[in-house]
Amino acid sequence: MTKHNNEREVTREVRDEIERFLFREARLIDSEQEREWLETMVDAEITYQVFSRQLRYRKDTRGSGDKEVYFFDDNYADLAHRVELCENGMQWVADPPNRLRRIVGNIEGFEGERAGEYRVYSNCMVTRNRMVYEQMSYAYGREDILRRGVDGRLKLLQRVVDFEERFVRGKNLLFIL
Amino acid sequence: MVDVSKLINTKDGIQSRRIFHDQAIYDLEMERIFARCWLFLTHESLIPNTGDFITTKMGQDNVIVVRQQNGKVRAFVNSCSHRGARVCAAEAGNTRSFVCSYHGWAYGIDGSLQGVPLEKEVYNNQLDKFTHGLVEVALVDSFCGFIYGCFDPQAPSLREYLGEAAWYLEAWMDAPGGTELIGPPSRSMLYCNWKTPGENFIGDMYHVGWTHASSTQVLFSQSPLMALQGNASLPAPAEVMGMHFTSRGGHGAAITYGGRGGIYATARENEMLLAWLAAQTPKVAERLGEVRAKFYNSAWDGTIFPNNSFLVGPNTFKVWLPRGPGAIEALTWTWVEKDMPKELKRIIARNMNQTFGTAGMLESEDTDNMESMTQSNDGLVTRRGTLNAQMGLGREREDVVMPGVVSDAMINELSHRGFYRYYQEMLVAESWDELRANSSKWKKAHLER
Repeated sequence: MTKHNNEREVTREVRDEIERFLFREARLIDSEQEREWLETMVDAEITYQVFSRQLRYRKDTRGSGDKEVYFFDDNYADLAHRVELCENGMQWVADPPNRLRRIVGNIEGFEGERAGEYRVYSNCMVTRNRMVYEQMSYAYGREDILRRGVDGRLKLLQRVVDFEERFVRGKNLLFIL
Repeated sequence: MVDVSKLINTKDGIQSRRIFHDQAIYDLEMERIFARCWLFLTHESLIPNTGDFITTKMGQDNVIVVRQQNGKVRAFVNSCSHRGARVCAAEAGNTRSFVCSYHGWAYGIDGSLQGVPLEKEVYNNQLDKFTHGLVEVALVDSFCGFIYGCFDPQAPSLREYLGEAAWYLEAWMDAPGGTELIGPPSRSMLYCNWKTPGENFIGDMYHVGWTHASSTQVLFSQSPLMALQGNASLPAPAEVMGMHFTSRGGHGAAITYGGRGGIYATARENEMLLAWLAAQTPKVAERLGEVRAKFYNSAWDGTIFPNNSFLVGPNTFKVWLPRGPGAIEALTWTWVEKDMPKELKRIIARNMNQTFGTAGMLESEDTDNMESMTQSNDGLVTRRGTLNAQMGLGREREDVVMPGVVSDAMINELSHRGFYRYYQEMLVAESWDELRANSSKWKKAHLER
């Protein structure tokens, strides 16, 4: 997680608003309302990234090559494609439906670098039940930037997940994290 | 023990279902296939400097692959010769030594035992360090920068092992300026037998329109592959769309003509790749000929026997590491051409991860099939049966330019049959000499009707 100094906590009122945003987002995604999520909660300029970090020794600064692989490196159009996949009726892997359930916690909100932006940390526990026998669990932290639009409502402008489970036992991450 | 010579019928395209279930067959696969075949390790581009290393597996054996002082690459079993603990916990990096975390035995990057803590005091100087180096992987070699290792010193050279497939692979691996992998790999668990993804990638173009009906519609609107969407009809005879090949060593692929471009999210991205391909094609034609210049512009799905698969188009490069008969670890890289502009490399990597990475839209569609193809055979009655890979039977032929056995039908299971032909041969053969003795007549199983 990025280390920020001199972070200014948001007011209690904004904190409540952020919390309501994250809870609504969780409910929409977990109840297959991805389009509602995309159209009402996601900023058109979004950067949505989930990456995995290769495990190297702490002292090793000389190793070659990138250390990160990006599972998601999406913009709005990419996320729209993912939403379309859920809607076209041919996604056999989600039929019968997958069921997602997430707990969002450890929410912290700070004033962002620009006015009307907030830096938000949260932790997630997600369980995905699919088909008869499969149950998979994922735990991760999110570092978000929420931006207040001209209509006064918050939208997700940036999400970065430094995914900690190097070897993904839950097969894939084909869901909105 | 099952009679392994009766698991596969190449001529009729039939396989026993037991190969996806039986522990005894799996154990034999480890011994006869994974301890004898050339297995993918890493790419030259990921360990360019002295002391650069990666850790991976060959079968279920943990290995370290490390660049030596003299520039050569060697590989060692990642297990201390004292009590067996691993000597390297990192996935990659740069080092001067590998130190066991148990008692601190230290090995050089050449695998030799260099340091034993308190050696004088506790061993009374009687430990022979010379015979306690790390166990070395007998053979390490690279093909177009892709590094493979083999535990069996009797095995043929990597080039000979790739056989006719090398001629095809050069069409993309040996691009002008060369290719590289973008590391690190993503790593994920799939609950399938190691052969099910291998047979899918080796040339199953039949599933593209159906398994991927959803994602081809959303993502591939600019691609010739869109024509397959829904498996409802084929726009052109299959022979116009592409070809299929199999080779002596079971490696094979399906090649879809003109299909390499058109799969990216925006018109600009697609144009950038097409412009790149157009600029390179004359150079490819000059070096490799017109046929392979056509292949260079094509979409491919292929597998290098036993467990290394790739796509050209969505530039994925994969290894399926076995973890028992019913589970694998999938390692996934993006491959690009070294000389491509940085932005094009990023576009390709983004696309690869969106389609065949851990959150890949097509990857997850494939997974359920690979898993249920494996798990259905847990049923005793189910696994008494056989499986059918007969598509395209009777359409195989030899060609004056293209080596191996080819077919003009792109939607085909010729390469499946070739994969399992060699699979059975490896299980049966006691030695490489026995395998070599079959080399003059391997085509008969495909061509004689």
